Amino acid sequence: MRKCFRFLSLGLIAVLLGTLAIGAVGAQDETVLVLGVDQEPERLSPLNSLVQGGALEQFYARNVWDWDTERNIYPIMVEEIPTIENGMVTENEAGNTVVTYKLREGMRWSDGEPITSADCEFGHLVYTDSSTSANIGRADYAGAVESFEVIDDLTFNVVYAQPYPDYASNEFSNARCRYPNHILRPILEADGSLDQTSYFTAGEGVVGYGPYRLAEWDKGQSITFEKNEFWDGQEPAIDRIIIRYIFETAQMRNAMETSEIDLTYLIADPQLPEYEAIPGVAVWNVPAVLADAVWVNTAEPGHPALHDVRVREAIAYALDRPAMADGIIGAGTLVPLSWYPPSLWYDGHPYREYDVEKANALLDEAGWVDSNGSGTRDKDGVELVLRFYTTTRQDRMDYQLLIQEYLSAVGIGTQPIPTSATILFGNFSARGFFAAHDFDLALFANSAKALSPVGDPDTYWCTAIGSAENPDGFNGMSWCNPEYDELDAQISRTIDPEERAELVQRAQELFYEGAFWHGLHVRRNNFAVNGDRWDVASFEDMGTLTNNFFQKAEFWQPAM
Amino acid sequence: MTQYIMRRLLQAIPLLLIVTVLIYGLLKAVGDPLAHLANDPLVRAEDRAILRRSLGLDDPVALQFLHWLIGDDWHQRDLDFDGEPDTYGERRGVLRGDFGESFRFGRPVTQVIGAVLPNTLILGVTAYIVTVVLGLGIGIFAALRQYSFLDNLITTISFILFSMPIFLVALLSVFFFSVKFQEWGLPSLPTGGMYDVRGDRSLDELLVRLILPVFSLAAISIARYTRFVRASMLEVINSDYIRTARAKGLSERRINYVHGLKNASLPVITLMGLDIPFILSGAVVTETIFGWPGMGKLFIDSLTILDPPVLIIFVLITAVAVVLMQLLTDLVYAWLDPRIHYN
Repeated sequence: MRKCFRFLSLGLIAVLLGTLAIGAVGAQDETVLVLGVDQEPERLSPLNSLVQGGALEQFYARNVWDWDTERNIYPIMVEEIPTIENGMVTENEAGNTVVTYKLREGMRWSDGEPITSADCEFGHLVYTDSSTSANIGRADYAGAVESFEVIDDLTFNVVYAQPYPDYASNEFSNARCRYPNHILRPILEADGSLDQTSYFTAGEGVVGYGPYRLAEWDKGQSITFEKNEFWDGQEPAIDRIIIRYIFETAQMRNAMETSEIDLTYLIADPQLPEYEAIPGVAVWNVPAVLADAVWVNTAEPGHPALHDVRVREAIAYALDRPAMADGIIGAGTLVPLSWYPPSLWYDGHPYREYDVEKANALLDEAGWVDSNGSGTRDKDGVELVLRFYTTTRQDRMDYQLLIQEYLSAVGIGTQPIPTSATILFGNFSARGFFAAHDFDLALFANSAKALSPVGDPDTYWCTAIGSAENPDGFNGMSWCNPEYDELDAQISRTIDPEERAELVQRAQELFYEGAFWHGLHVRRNNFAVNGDRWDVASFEDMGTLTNNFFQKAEFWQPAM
Repeated sequence: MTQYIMRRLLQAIPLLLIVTVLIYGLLKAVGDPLAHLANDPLVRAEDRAILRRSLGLDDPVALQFLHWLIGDDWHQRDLDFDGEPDTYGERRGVLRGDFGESFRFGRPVTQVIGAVLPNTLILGVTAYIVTVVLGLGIGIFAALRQYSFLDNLITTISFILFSMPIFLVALLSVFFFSVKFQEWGLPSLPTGGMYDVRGDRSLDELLVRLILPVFSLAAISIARYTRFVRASMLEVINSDYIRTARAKGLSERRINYVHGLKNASLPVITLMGLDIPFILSGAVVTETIFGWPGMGKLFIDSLTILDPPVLIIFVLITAVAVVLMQLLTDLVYAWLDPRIHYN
């Protein structure tokens, strides 16, 4: 037994030492960058609800045009950006907007086939015909675009259903030229749908127009991109980009410290100091499009106190939102003035500053006082205690506790309930707390169209209030102001910028008066790169949107 | 014996049916599988509605369960929302060998699970073998040297490891063997992943990357087995028949490993038998921390995004494995202990 045990122990030690020796990092001949990502897309485009899935497209499938970090538009697949001035944006007889696209000559898919108007026409078909796939993130395209006219192999018109000022900035309603007609049309004709094709579900045979091509997708482990020999733009300095999936935040940081990864992004704010502490690692951030906010249920079955706008206003006055953002997210964090993107905030934009006295006065005025000495206000025998939901994201739960403290100081009780996103955001039929109006306060982030000249939120029109008849309506606050809806619709078809700015300002005033959305912080996208191996300056120009972080990957350079 | 096995297998059918009904009901109660699309500005409400209907999520729960069981190719749905049912379903149901399609991946559940099951088996079986070999060895070693310094040391280490959560063991092992070893200029182990993404996916790479997850999984289990084997072995070697064997002049080796270990192994077999099914279900924490694409990671992802077709098959596989392993354990009892008969 003793000998056996010794033999076993020695054997194990030998295996351990042997494998440790094997583990030494070997030399590399080619330039390879490893990008650490914490969520793997379920499938590649078209539908991908994960930010990461869309972001990865920047490596292998670019848009017709894109936006830099200064929010300037630049052409990619087209010869020039269509404008009224260059005659490529016109009106048809019905007064609706017609945009002419002129594709650049010589562009090829990563399998060598030429890119033509037929590819964009196929994109139009998929985005307008639901029967082609139930798994398409169609956004506004089908509602906005009336028809598609092919003029020649490289020229086509997109005809909108109304005057459409958003044709350039709304990335989901301009031409869709990412899907190769020569591959996908035969599949569609054979199967009747794109839902089951391994092109999307397994990434088999994926082609695109980008600096890299998809070489391999090892599910759960990595995605490898290799240089696309048919890319006619800037030649990338990096031969291979490998996406490595690391699902645990501490492990991502460990992998950065051990140089197993070179670059990572979407780092949570509280983790930034840990990355900054790694020798040789450079950390930076760009503004993001999501804004976290407290959403207030204004109608039944929400708390009766919240039907009164004065109570909703009091909640905003009771919260020191800049202090909370500084404490939880980091110094200098932007507190949003409205759910419209910052580019649409105007001089003198109203904002409810932290003012406890004003909060108390409003609550008193609304008749909510602490008549029974319980420590919380009450009215007609009903205590002012609010059900406060959020997801299990740590910074949101931290916010919940701080908000509970602030509201407690003005006599409002809260019951913080962190819950899973599947329950909070379920639709009306599934009794999702938000859509089914079964909450008093909720904390989550909303994505606005950061570049749009017209704002976003038709999701929150009166017609979007969830009900048995409208189970997918996502206006959980039940806030309904027909004037706002009309204004928002008007904004979306007003071409004249000055006229549109006036309408936007009025819409935001109404929105402010409703006092059902109290912005907490605008998110920022944090990045970290190994500065010992890579030229940090060449990486800093990351995108501003949720899906264009890697729009300049071909310009990334190794350290000198 | 054959009759006994047949009876146990037949008894398992209603049990598995009850498990399935319960899990199906629970999964329906915990949320909306399409909730992640609800506030996605890319996904139109009408597309969500079509998706919901085509997946059968609009049907009453009992009907959904029936479809899962026997298929929906006999049931028409109104997919174009014109008020008239127009399209037959395409599922054939579990009883006809169709285990459904993952909502998340858009691929058959068998493919989704089949892709990760081998990875889980590599990790789980390795950790299991290491656990059983070392757990038995150390447990016997400690029992045969009761109250010695080494026994006390093993007991102390066992209690410490046994009290530690697995994520702590995993993260500490990475911190020392990956991060600190590299900092100190020693050969270090990788932080995670099954292969080096820059490498050639050789067996060497796999072995290197197995070390830390296997260590994390096995460390706590070895502590548990050690305590169990030690207690069981002590009970046996202090019994009358061992004393008799010793009086008859049998060698210590024969007494300990033939007469002692065989009888001490009955409770240990129970423990081993109950652990095997959970190899299949993967190690959620370890796989997540080490980026090991296995069943545990699949389970937690499927639960997060609520992918019922995957979850229910996952639970069903585990339930079947538990039933089979319990049967096998009972049969091993009869082999080890002649007093046990099932006829």
